[in-house]
Amino acid sequence: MYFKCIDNILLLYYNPFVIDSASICQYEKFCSWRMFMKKLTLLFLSFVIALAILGCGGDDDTSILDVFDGNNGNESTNLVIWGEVPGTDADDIREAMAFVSDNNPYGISLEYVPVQGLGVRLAAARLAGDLPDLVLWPRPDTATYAPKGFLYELHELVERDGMNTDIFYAEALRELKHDSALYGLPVDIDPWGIWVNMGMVESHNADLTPSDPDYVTVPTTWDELYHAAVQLTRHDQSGNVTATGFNINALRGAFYSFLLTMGGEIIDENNGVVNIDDTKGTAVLEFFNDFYRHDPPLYTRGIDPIDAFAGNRLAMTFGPLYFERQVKARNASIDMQFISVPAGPIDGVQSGVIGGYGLVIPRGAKNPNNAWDIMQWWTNDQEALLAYTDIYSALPANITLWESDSIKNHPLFSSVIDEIEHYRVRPVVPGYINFEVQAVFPTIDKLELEMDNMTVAKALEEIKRIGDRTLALERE
Amino acid sequence: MNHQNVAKMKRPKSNKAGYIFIAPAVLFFLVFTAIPIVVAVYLSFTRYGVFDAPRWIGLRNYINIFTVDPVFLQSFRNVSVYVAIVVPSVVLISMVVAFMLNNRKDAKVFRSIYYLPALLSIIAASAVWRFMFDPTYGTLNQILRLLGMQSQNLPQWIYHPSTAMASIALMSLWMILGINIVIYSAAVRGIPKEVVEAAEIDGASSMNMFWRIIFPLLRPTTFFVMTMTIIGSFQLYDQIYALTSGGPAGSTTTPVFLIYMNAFDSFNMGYASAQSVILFIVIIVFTLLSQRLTRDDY
Repeated sequence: MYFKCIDNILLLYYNPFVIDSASICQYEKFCSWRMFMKKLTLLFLSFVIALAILGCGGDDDTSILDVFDGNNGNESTNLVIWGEVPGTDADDIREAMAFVSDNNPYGISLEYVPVQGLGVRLAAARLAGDLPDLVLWPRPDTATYAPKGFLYELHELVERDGMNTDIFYAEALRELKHDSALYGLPVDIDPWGIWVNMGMVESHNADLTPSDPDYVTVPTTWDELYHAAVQLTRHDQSGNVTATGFNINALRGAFYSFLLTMGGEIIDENNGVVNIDDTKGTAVLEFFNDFYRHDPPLYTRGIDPIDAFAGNRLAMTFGPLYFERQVKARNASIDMQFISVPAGPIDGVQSGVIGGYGLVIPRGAKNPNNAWDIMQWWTNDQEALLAYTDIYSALPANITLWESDSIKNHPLFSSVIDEIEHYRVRPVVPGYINFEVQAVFPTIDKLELEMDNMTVAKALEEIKRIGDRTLALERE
Repeated sequence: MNHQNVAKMKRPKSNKAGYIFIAPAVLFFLVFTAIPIVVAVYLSFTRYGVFDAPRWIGLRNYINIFTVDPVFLQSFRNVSVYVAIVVPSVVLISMVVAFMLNNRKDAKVFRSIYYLPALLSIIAASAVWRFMFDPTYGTLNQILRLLGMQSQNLPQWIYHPSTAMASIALMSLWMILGINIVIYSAAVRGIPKEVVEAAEIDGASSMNMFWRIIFPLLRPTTFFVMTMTIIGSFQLYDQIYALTSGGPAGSTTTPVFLIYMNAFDSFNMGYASAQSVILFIVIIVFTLLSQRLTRDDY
């Protein structure tokens, strides 16, 4: 009875297509002159309406100082702040916002709204005239979105209010600039390095002495990293990897990080073109190749690093500081240590890439003066920032706090601060993410999979060629 | 009085009611189809990032697509693999299964079972297929191991460029076959019995019956199925987004995936519109080819 019912519904639904399908081919009707004229009129009408709609979105020539005139009288004190931090992490952000709401001197309250696809949502909100007042902004997106008019320029306000931006970590502030205009204030610093599962290291070393060639130390150089990766990988009798020493799947995303460990560059930011030193680029790709070609294999594809790390099936992986929180949510007792990406063989220095959030005001926000007041206060107020640091486990971008006891005594933050002078943000050029996705990742994939007779030299040449074209498209 | 005069006499003087009845459909068509198409064509000649007004740049976007863009043409090569697998498979398998189910008592059960995957969300189904495609723990490779395949010979499914697009096609077939089986079943049922009986009386073999009677009578349905599958195939996006994000090595990067990235990640709306217009033209060309292939020459 059940199947008969479904079947009848389906046949009834699709029968019109089938029974009348002969009429699909009867184009004569559609080709009549009258029909043609009707279609033409409809098309013309659509074109006129379309132009009218597009004409509504003209340039806003209002001066920034006219928008941010300091007159808060008519503005709401209940501000909405968007961010892309979802799930349980969003609760942490809400808790930090509640602290800001309860303690700021302006009586402003912040409501955090997590959104997926920040750019799309902002564009839709702009068209609907319902933008948030502030955005907890992923700083690497600034170079792509700022030139397209998503954000208010704030440098004139900084100048007007005599704000000292030297209190911010310079690289984080630089990431919020485009063409020397400033679009936001940095909140935190999110260094990416390598997490080491110390339990697995200690277990491996249990029966070894430091003089033993198989002994593993926390790596500080590429050679030590490779040695640890090989030693900590376990295989079953069939040769399948049962425990992974180093998450090699993430290597392609760390190409720039490894260049940084030799003081190398990837993009010439002034001209927006790829700028990889041949010797250093070759060294990185050959190092990757050593992992890819190791026999027996050092990894399997498709592992979930959080699960594997928490389950003691992964000894080392790339990750941000908050990786610790994610892992400990699944295995609270795990012993793990964060290290910078180990120093390279040429001009070696331990380094890494940093990301993080800033506060920005989307162009067209309804309460800009209150938004500016609260973001100034928050990024300067010691207690508010330390509360955020404490709740969200992030290093504050305000460097004046790095001397505070709570940061100095924090084992993770203090170790990062010791090496942070070598860390860099991603290149601040429009389309950098596209460059990685279209030029770096597929090329390194090809090298890994030995596709298209890919060699290290060819891969480097392809990254440059495709990369330059990708960046050129974004510059147009 | 001839028939034309009768028709003229019966025609109402005013068509107002008719216009009112079709107004919602026309409005819907204008707002959600006609205007967006016209806007997209217009935007394809502009540089537009949503927050600022579009700036006219003539053919620059089109020139860049063919002279600078390193991946758009590659994405057509990628999706061609998918089209080459999915379109003939859908037509052949759906037609054969529908033919086999015809006149079976349990046909309703099978049709419903085949149709069930189409009711699932693609994203949810992709999550399950991702697990099945896992090279180490996935169901597919576990089965192949049970069948005696050596570990080193097991396919890497979505994790290797040589099998990634075929794997996506496999999942898509699982999802869309049911719909097309139902469509073909309805068409097979609609074939006049007297035609089949006449052929049987004339001594036509099963093969002759299928190729000379059934297949030609199913041509309009084949045209419909083929056209819709071609359009759907060129618009491949959801599975890519959920399973591979265009990788590995860019082997599953499709035109719509790139269009989405350009439009909603980079907010190069003008450039994405130009890519959409080119995709539109390609789909039109393939649809016309499909029309020629299934044209009734009898």
